[in-house]
This record gives sequence, structure tokens and C-alpha cells, in this order.
Amino acid sequence: MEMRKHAQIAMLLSLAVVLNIFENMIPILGGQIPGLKIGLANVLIIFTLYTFSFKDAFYLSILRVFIVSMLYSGLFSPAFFFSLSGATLSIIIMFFAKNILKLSIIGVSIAGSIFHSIGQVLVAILILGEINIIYMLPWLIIFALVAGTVVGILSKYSVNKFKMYCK
Amino acid sequence: MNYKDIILILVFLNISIAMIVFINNNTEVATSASVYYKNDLIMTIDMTEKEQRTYTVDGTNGDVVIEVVDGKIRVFQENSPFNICSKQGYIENAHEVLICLPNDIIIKLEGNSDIDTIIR
Amino acid sequence: MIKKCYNLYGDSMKYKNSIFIGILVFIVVVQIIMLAFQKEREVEVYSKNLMYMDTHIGIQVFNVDEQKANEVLDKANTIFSEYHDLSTRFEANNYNNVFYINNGLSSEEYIIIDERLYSMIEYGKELYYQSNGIKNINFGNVIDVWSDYRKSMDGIPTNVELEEANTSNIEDIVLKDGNKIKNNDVNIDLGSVAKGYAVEVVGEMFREEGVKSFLINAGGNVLVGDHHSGDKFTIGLQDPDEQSGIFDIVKGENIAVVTSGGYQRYYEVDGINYGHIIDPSTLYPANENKSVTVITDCSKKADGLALTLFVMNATDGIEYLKYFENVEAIWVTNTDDVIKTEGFSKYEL
Repeated sequence: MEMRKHAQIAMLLSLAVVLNIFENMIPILGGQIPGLKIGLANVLIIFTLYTFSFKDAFYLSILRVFIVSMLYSGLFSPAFFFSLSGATLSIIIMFFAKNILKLSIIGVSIAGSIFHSIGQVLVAILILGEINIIYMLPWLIIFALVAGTVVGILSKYSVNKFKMYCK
Repeated sequence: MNYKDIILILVFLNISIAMIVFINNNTEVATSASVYYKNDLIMTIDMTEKEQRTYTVDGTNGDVVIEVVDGKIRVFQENSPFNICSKQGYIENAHEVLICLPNDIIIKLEGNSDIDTIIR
Repeated sequence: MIKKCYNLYGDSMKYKNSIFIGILVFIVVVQIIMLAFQKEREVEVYSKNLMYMDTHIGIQVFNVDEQKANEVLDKANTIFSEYHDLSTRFEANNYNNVFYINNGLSSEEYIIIDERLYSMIEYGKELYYQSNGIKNINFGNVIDVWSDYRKSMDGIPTNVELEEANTSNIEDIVLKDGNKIKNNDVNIDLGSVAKGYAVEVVGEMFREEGVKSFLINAGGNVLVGDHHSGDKFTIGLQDPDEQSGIFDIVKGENIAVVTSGGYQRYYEVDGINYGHIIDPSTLYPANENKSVTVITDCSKKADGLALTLFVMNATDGIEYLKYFENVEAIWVTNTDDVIKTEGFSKYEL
């Protein structure tokens, strides 16, 4: 049972990493707003949150950040800290949204997307000492509402399928 | 989707549109651009001149070419994995920033454009 | 099925939620309307850039239709061009202008001059008495000596040279009948009067034409009317040491702001900076201040005072201003101190 779970999580992790890298290659809206992406990897995080546990989803999320950063911007670069804070805040908020606010899976996904942006922007402001980055936040939030919905629908579909076949 | 989801969406839609309204109200056209490398100011560019010109500064991954034209500024060429900041295109309003993380370059627009005129 | 329907309408929680959602949707709609409305709120502005009296002149008029704007801007252009022609010392033109007066032969004859030039010279004389001789329009000889040296960038004039040049007396300018001046071997320089005077005339013309909201910036002379959207005009005061810097901002409506001195209007000999404003008592450039800015309601008054104050030191200047009502000033002294009159802060809000 343990082994099987580990294998599953490892697969999910590699998928998340691949999705993350894949996404980085496609600029959204012509790249007008930096850091804008749908967050397809979040489908796997939400999937883990619903089918496994918060702890697993948390590890998955953090590990993904480490791996993607190692491949690209390098560990402990500013971009790494943006992603890390975004991912951490996002997963905590999603747990909160799911278990305490009792939002639907789409709501959880939207909350995750929004707070991923907020976390990134806050840390970017802190690290770069550049308060004006906050001017991008409203656009990031509006985009997160759309992206979160898309991710939420995809997550709902995959969680349902999983529960249908694997339980 | 339940009621709470819709409330969540609407609350954040509210917050962000309010922010956009506020930002639009306070938007000024930039009059100068400051270029920072690793938090050190390395260049100040006058944005009030309309003619097209380019500047080259040293970034961590090599040259970063900045183009200024008609009161707008962009990073024209730079070396980084995703070219995020050159894809960002032109910016022109005070308080907008161009951030080239892999090159440690930040370009920040400044304006005193709530000033109607300057007496010399 | 029936039970579900019952739940949908009977559950008070959900009912409350839908009111809440309704409110939120309403707010979003209001905000989007605000966003759309914002774009249309732009002020109509027409502007014109001119080059007269050795300086760049920018004029803006607000909240008027295009035809009216073009009409008044053309009128402004004519006024500046005519005042330029009247006050120039350097070229002959259709008018019996300052050049004509200065270069005429000395005699007891009177020359007939334009009434506008007459009143400028009269005003210049008035300023002489008002400023105890600091502002002297019959000072062209000394100014010429200095500007020759400034152009050649070669040293500074000697005391003897300056004393020799300083022969003309303000009383040599004799005016009569509102349009006559005696041809009396004068060397009038209206450079320090004409700009403020012309700006004031243009401002008066705008007000007569019903253009209430305008902004004129002619070199160091700014005159503003009502603000175009009920706010105040903001005028940046340039740092005398730094071209792109501003050391203070003043705000107001229907005010004239005039700066004397200012950024890099001097030349350097042996490490000493010589400005372009000459102190008549020493015949050397005034060096108490880097810049003096005067705010009052009238451009020609502000212009006269700014130059006078520039020559004095700030302490004397504050004393001097006690004879005037509704005038505020800010000094940047040569030691980089910024000194303001007591009431100056009302323009800083």
C-alpha cells in the first residue's frame, strides 16, 4: 500500500513538473503580463489534495517548485522564492477553502490560483523592494479567476474519474 | 460550484476592479526611466524625448538592449530562459516596471506628470 | 424533486446568499461603468509652442472648442511676436522699437513710438523706483559688456570697463504724451520686462475672450488661469543644480509664478560662476542666490519682483516684500539653503 502510494505520488510529481515546464514555454496574452500562466500543474495538486491528503499535496507542491527551479532559474534565485511563496500560500489557502470554508472543487481551485498570484507578488515586492509591482496584481487576480475555473473543472473531472475507477 | 464559490469570485473581482479604477485614476505618463542592476541605479533615461533610441546595459546573462521610442520603453533584446521581460513589450506609465530577473535588471518608470509645467 | 425545490426557496441561508451575490454583482457592474466612464473624462487641451524673446514659450488652453482655441492661440502668437518686435534691442523692424530708440542719434527730438512700447518703458521706469534702482531698464551698456565676455567665454570685464559703460541714467529716458520718447542716447534693455509684460497681456486677452482655463509658460514666467477640472495647477520649480530635478512644487489657480536665476544660466571663469543678472550697485553678477521664485496674481509684477529679489539677499528680500501685498517667494541661496516667505505654504498644499 505504502509503495503504491509513493509510486503514485512520484508519478503525479513528474507530471506536475512536466506541465509546469510546458506552461512556461507558452506566453499568455503575448506575454504582456509577466508570470501569467494557467497553472495546469495545479490540477495535480488539487487532485492529490482530494484523493490523498493535505500533507501529500503540500510536499508535492513544494517539491515541484524545487525541481522546476533547479532546471531553470536555479535554486534560491529570486524567481525560486516567488514560486515557493506562491505555491505555499496557495496550498494552505486551498486546504482552508476545502475543509473550513467548504467550497466546491472549482472554488478551491480559484482560491488557490488567486493566492498563488498574491503570494508571488508579495514576495516579489519584498525581495525586489519594488512596491510598484502591486500594480500588476489586479490583472493577475482577474486572470486567476478564469484560470482557476479552468483548472477547477479539469480537477473535478479527474477526481471524479479516479474515484469512479480506482476505489 | 456553489454559492460560496460565486461569492469568492465576485469578492475578488470587486477588489481587482476597484484596484484598476484606482490605478487608472492615478496614472501619469512617465517622464523618466531608471535602470537598476542588482538594486544599483545604473542609468536614467529621459522619456520626454520622442525620438527612437536604444541603450545597452550589462545584465547577468550578457547585454540587455533597451529601446525607447515615443515615450514608451521596452527591453528589446536580452538573454534568459523564457525572455519574459522582452516579451512584456512596451510600458509607458509612471510606476510601471519591467523586471528582467535572470539578468537582475529592473527598469522603473517615474513621472512627475501630475506636474502641469516646470519653471526653469 | 419537490423537496429540492422547497429547499431552494425555503432555505434562508441560500436566500441571504443570493441577496449578497446580488449586491456584489451590482458593485461589479457599477465599477465597470466607472471604468468605462473614466476613459471619457479626458480634458480637451490645445497647445502652441512659440519661440520669441530668446525663450521657448508654451501655451495651453483647456475646455474650449477647436475653433475658439485656434483663434485665441493665433492671437497669443501675434501678441508675443509683436512684443518681441517692440522690445528687441538687436534688430530693426516695422516698429520704432527699442533697437531704433537705442541707435538713434542723440537730440532734443521726440520719437513717436507704439503705445504698447511706451507703457512697457513707463512700467520699466516705475520698477526702477520701486526697486531702489535694482531693476534698471537703461542698463543695456553694462549688460552688453558682460554678454560679450559671456559669448567669448574669455575672462571677465575689468572694473574700469564696467564703470565706463555705466554712464546712462534712468532719468535719461524721457517720456511724453503716452506715445513719445526723447532721443536721448539711452541703451534700453527690456529683456527683463517684456516677457512678463507680454505674458500678462496674453493672459488678459484669454480672459476677455472667455478662455478661463489656460497655462502660459514663457521661460521663467508661468501664468495660469482656472484649472480645467476644478483642481489646481501644479508647477514644478526646477532645481538650480540639477537639470532633471525639481526642488519644490507649487499649486494654485490664477497665479503668476516667475523664477529668476535657475539652472545653469551662468558661465564659469577660474572656478567662479558668473550669472546673467547684473547687480547695478556692483556692476557684477548678483551672487546671493541660485534662484528666486515669486508667486503673485500678476505676471509683470512677479517678473519685476523676482529679479529684484534675486539681487538682494534673502533676509533683505523678506523685509522688502513686506511693502507688497499677496506676494510670496522662495529662495535657493548660494549656500543651497531654501528660504520661504511665511505665507508660501499656502501654495504647497
